[in-house]
Amino acid sequence: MNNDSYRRLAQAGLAPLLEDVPPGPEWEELMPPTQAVPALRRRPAAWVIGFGTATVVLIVFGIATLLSTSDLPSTLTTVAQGEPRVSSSLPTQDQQERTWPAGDPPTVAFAVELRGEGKELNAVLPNGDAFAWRFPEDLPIETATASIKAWITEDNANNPESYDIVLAQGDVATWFGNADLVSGELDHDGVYVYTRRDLPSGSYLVITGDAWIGWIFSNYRISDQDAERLANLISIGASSSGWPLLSLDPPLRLAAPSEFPPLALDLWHPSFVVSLYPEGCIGSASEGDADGSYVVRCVEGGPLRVDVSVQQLDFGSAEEIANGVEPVDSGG
Amino acid sequence: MCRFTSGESVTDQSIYLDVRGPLMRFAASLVGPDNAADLVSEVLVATLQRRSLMSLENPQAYLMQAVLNRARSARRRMDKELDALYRYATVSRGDEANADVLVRADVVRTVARLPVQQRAAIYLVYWADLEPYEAADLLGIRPATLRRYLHLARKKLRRYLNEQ
Repeated sequence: MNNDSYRRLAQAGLAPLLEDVPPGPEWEELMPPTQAVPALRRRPAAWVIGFGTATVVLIVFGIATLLSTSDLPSTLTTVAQGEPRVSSSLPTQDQQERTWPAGDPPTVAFAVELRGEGKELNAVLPNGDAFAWRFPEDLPIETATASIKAWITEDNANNPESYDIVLAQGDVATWFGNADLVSGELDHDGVYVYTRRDLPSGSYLVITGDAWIGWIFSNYRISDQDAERLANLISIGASSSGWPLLSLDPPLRLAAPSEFPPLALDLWHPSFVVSLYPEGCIGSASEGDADGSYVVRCVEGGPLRVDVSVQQLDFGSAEEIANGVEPVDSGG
Repeated sequence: MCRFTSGESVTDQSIYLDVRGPLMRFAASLVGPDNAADLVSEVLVATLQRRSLMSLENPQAYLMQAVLNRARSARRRMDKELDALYRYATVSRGDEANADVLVRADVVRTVARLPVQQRAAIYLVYWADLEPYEAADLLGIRPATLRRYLHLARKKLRRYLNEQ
């Protein structure tokens, strides 16, 4: 099946959607409603002006008298504010590791949606400084205990409307970023959605526990430099044998050496050991290609075991993660 | 895709009018024609509340990314409506006697059920005739990512064909 065939199929599938596209909203419809300011139809009466002027003079005089005769403090003090329930402020540099206030840890159940998949993750906050994430059992991956700091780079600002599905449900959500640049709001499903602004390099989210960060950063790409920093910070709680941390379900099976395609590894998690199950194949990780994809070419040999290093972090949907290792479709 | 005319005074309105057509078609490919205007409106209103289109380096790319992301969110709500559309969609294009252009509702349904990102990818590449790197640029993703979307979409299309 060649590219033209795909093109025809795609066009055919899209055609009903595109045959009768309306012109779109008019510009005027996009403008926020403005309150018409009624024009003054006549000047106010002279007595109104006079009365108003006299009142202002009296008030000013009274305030001046008060200030000159009393010992009132010369500065105003702000009203003390209660503790915010939603923690979205940016911790200072020396507070960055302490993500929750001391004392009893909050116990909040989160329901985090996997966008596009309609599945839910359940997570609890087990202690004062960690999130714990667990996959639903039906996800075809195994979790690893990981401590993850994810740097969000300026690169991500290119996609300003992306959702940071941070944590949802209720009124506790924490984003350790620049509060001035990130704001949260409840969407129609009650999911707490953060809309990203232009995040500066260095903003980050801290997650500790049984973690998988891909669900959260569904749209993020992390620069190689930051990915390297990220990799250095991740500790994988692997089994003593060291692997597998990720198993593909079903495993990718290649029938014969002649059919071995190059494998494009779009990495969902740094430091994953990707296990492949051809009966005979040794792969060695090549350099990342020009696009940042990591390409492994299989050659005939023993069992393939690839230790993947970070080249690209590109978190995708659950489906894409399940298909995280796939043959390159070089047929165009 | 949209090209701006040089030499004219550029305003938010003129930018919008320039990108409106491509944006609507893109939105329609994601959520259907009936929902496209709402989607575009939501995105534009939200964007204009925060910034001027003139301040954007590439307004069309920015708005398309915003449309895509909002479509991902809205998709669940619109699935039922789309399903209704696809259920009755039996479309033929070109010569029906030619088997490979005979399009059945199943094809439409297959495309409709692609994840939004994959649909965006095939729209831009197969419908709008952009090169993958151009489409990736518009969507603010890496070419490798776009190729993966294309690959996954093609895989599903291929699966559909194999089932026929």
